[in-house]
Amino acid sequence: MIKEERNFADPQFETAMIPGRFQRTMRHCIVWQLIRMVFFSVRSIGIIMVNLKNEKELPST
Amino acid sequence: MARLVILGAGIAGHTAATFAKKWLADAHEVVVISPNSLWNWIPSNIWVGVGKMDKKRVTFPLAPVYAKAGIDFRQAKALAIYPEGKESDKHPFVTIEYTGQGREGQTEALSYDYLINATGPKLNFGATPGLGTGSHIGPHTVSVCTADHAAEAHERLRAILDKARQGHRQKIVVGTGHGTCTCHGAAFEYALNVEHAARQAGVRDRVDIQWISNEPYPGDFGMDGMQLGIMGYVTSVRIMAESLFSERGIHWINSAHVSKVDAGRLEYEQVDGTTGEEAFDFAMLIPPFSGVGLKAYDRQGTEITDTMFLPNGFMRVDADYTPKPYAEWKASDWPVTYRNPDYPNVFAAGIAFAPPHPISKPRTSPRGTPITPMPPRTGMPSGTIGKAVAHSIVNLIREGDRAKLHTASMAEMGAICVASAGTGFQSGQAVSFTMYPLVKDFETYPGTGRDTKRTYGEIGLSGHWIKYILHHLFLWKAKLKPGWTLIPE
Ligand SMILES: Cc1cc2nc3c(=O)[nH]c(=O)nc-3n(C[C@H](O)[C@H](O)[C@H](O)COP(=O)(O)OP(=O)(O)OC[C@H]3O[C@@H](n4cnc5c(N)ncnc54)[C@H](O)[C@@H]3O)c2cc1C
Repeated sequence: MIKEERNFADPQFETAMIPGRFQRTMRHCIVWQLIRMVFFSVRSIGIIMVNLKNEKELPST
Repeated sequence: MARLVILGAGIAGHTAATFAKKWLADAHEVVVISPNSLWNWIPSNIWVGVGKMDKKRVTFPLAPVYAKAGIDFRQAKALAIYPEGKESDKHPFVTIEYTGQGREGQTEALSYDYLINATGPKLNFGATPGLGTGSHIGPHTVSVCTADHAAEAHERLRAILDKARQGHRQKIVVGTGHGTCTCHGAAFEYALNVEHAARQAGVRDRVDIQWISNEPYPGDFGMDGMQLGIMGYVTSVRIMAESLFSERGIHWINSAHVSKVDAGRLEYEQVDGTTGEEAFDFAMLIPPFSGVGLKAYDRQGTEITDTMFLPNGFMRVDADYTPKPYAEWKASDWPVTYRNPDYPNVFAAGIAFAPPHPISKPRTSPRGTPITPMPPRTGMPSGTIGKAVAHSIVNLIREGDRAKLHTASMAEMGAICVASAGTGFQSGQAVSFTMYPLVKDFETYPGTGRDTKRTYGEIGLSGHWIKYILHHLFLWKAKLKPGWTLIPE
């Protein structure tokens, strides 16, 4: 049985997605992960910007 | 000279205090009341709980930082608010009881012009028989909610892993200790980190790990789940959370209210009425949260706690607290300025404000036990709200009634969350999420209640690096080191 099929042996796990060798390697590949870090940082900046944009000023009374 | 008093020096209170002082400089007074002498970067307590960091690396003493900033720090706990003052002196004040600074046990009345309640949660262990008494954890389980709890959790985990090394099979349970818990993310991270620690110790095959939670499914997180836009698909975070558990051989019990804890054993009731029990050698269960139990009195000394606070102890702010069914919940129910409706110089920030209702669907077992995850108010919203409230108060101090109040609605706010799944510069992993908005808004986003272009998650080593960088960035910011204002909340 290959690793990504292991979950089908347990009824609670059978709808899950188990990563295969390629996925597992990419999760720890330094170069790919550096790229992902840049990608996630850009997404995060987007969230920070939208939060700043949404901060409004209302009259106090 | 106006005096702003801030109750609590956690993420919300510390952010509010430091920004208010920066903006007000020496023209006005900022006083912080907190019973703890240390500031704690709570998200890293997870790593303390598995022995990857010690308490010193996640805490620092507040007094020197406040002394340098010109903030008056009182190591004390607030007891009661007198928002109308007394008949003899109409100036509002709070009563406090010192817990340090050589004044332990002394009480004092401290007047204020503006007040921020940022007292966070009471860890209500006492709500579940056997989990603890009041806010004190009992002997049967551990917690990672404070740095001390996490250090104790690590000691006990180490003993369990040692026993596994000696060939004894061990059972670990991680999750929530009551049907109305929140803070699932912390428990989720801890489960994954314990699994990682067991693998690193070479004993994973002798350790069974069980997740138990009041969520309807793994990944609800008290946020009614999330629908993530990933590589052209929109998928439920449930798939991701269940996959992470499956991959690691962690079984789960959902929709569970832990009803009783004993030595090595817990009982639970599920939303369909099923009851069960689990034996364990080690259990980390997050307690339910409530307000810290502040009281309030009017000018005549009559108790008005029910007016200022909801029955759960959290402070009323500008939310719509009218009870209504899930189908009628709206983004506009959520507070915007965090101002108390009766006392306009009182605000609440972070976990201390009372949400109008949960975000997840409320459910009750046939016996009438509520099994509903409560809404999380994580670090980013707590800090953002703290800063917005500080901004509003600074405006009020400077401009009086003409002042503009700043908004920070959780229904118009996005968040970034990084959930650790194990440490190590090369072997670590974390799930990195962005979501927008925090509170589902079906009027603006009829499909899933959120913007699936901005709601996203992935797992990998880079998440661990980000979490590690954030640990250092936020400690840097909290210590008010150069450039601290440039680091977003
Ligand atoms: C283990 C764990 C991991 C977490 N991980 C993450 C994460 O990765 N990302 C994230 O965004 N969030 C995370 N969170 C949530 C985050 O820690 C909280 O959202 C945040 O701390 C809330 O800030 P707060 O200021 O409202 O409350 P707190 O940080 O709890 O601060 C409350 C303050 O009030 C003080 N206080 C209490 N009682 C009184 C009183 N009577 N008088 C005066 N002061 C009082 C306390 O001493 C404290 O200083 C995690 C939480 C836990 C428990």
